[in-house]
Amino acid sequence: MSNKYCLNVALPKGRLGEKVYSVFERAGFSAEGIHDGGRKLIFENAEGTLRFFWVKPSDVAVYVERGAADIGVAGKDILLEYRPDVYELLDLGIGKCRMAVAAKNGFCDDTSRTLRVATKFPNIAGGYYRSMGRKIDIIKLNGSIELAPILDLSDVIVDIVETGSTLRENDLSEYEKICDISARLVANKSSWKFKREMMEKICRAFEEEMK
Amino acid sequence: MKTLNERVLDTLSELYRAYGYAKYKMSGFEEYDLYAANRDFLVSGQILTFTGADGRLMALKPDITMSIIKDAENENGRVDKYFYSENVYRVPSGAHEFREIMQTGIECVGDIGDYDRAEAVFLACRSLSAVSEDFVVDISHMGLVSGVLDEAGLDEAERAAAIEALKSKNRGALAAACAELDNGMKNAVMGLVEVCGTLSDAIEAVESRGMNVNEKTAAALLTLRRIADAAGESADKLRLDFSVVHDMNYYDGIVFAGYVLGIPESLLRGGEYGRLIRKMGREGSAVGFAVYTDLIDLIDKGERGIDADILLVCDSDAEPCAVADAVERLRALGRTVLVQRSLAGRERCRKAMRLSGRRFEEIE
Repeated sequence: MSNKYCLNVALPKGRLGEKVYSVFERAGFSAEGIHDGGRKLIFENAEGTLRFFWVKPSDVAVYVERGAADIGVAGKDILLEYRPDVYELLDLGIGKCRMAVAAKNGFCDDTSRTLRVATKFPNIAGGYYRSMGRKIDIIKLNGSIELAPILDLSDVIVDIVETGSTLRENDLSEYEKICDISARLVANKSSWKFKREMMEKICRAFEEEMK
Repeated sequence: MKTLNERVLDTLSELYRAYGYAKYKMSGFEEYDLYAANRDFLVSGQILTFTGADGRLMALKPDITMSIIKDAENENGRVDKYFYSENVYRVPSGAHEFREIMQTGIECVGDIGDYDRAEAVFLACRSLSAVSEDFVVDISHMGLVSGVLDEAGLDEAERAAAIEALKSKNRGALAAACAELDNGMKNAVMGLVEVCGTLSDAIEAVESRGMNVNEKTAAALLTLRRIADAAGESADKLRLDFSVVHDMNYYDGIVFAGYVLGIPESLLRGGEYGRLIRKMGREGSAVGFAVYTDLIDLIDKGERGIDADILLVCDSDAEPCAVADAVERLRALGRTVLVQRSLAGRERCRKAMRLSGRRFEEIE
């Protein structure tokens, strides 16, 4: 059983998480067996001071806010959408993309009508259009957002755009950028009070890596 | 068996009484308007309402502070000190439904001075020490934060962005919000996220980073210094941390938040809310805090679900006076006793015994 000052780290499953873990590894924070595959869920370092676990990327912030993880790596999109009460210690500068408004090529906004917006991010979309005073109807979808304007389910979409190739291949265009997105190192507020030294060591390791 | 939560509540009542705080009991309901006029002061904005017998719109209390301010004597030169332990009704952060939440705390209302502020902080530390030895109280001062931001001359949007960045210790976002400032001012603003540590040490860091920029910051530092000087045994648990930011429409003095290892959110929150006092048409100022005692259950490692030390099984024809005598004999040995006619509830007692005549026989 780990000691009470052991640091629990929630890593996002997938390419981003692998990239993040390699930074931990290079900085001397590694856990045996983490690359082995298998069904093991939690991986601890030899000293028992650090534990890693893989979770669904959109759940990292929940684990951290609720204290099941002391730190984790979450996308800015998730932090903006769910507004978890966590410290955002560092922009890791990886997983870069942008939150944008896209629509069918040639789209022109008819401001006399309520704009139909399909998105996985209703809070971000709602906040963006509220700030512009534009009345919208949000259609919450869980995937294949690009289909919505093609099938006339919506006028526009608000979604993450990385290279824009999916949009182009489907005769869609990016119209407005809402904000830049990248991976952030987040920390539970209470944990930070008691495990600050270790967290700052990890922050410094990431900062070194980013130089 | 008393839970940690119950034991803490008992300790805190004694603690607050020892410092002259009178027990405040909410005996009725407040009108909805009392809370609606100051909705942003509430921990969560939602309010449970119902229609009173005379048709007035009433509310199930989401907060105790406003009732105390309303009921305080508010005589010139007087300080009213109250403590309370009450259930409040609110939607906790991250939850989707109202919950009944136990909260205890103090309010010190009226012509308060730096002693009263220091006492509130000291009592906050003592309150958390009743829960665990692993605790910290982060303290900030809204005057210092707003003084630095005033001096930086940030526009409304930049100021809002700076405060959001401050709350989440987001250095990158704070640096972006003050990108246009000269180096000295930028250093002062960045100090809000970078200066953090034991109160007395961090006050020195505030001075040396050039964050004492105007009368507002000077007055705030004087108060913080006096609190550090009066902290006594709590000094090493008090940290200056400007990420503690409460709503500036209500709070204008010290603000603080207490954390205990193992509880993922602040167990205690408080501060000086002079602006709320004046909004409610009262004189002076007020300082207080609330302890969200339900959270203590998260670290209660005591035996859960134990009702009694001994399950005493007695036949249905046992003489009540013999059973009563047996119970009192066990009680005299300091044991708690649950009497049953069968072994029902065995799992909730440490030991099961059968009464045979005047003798106890242990049941395996």
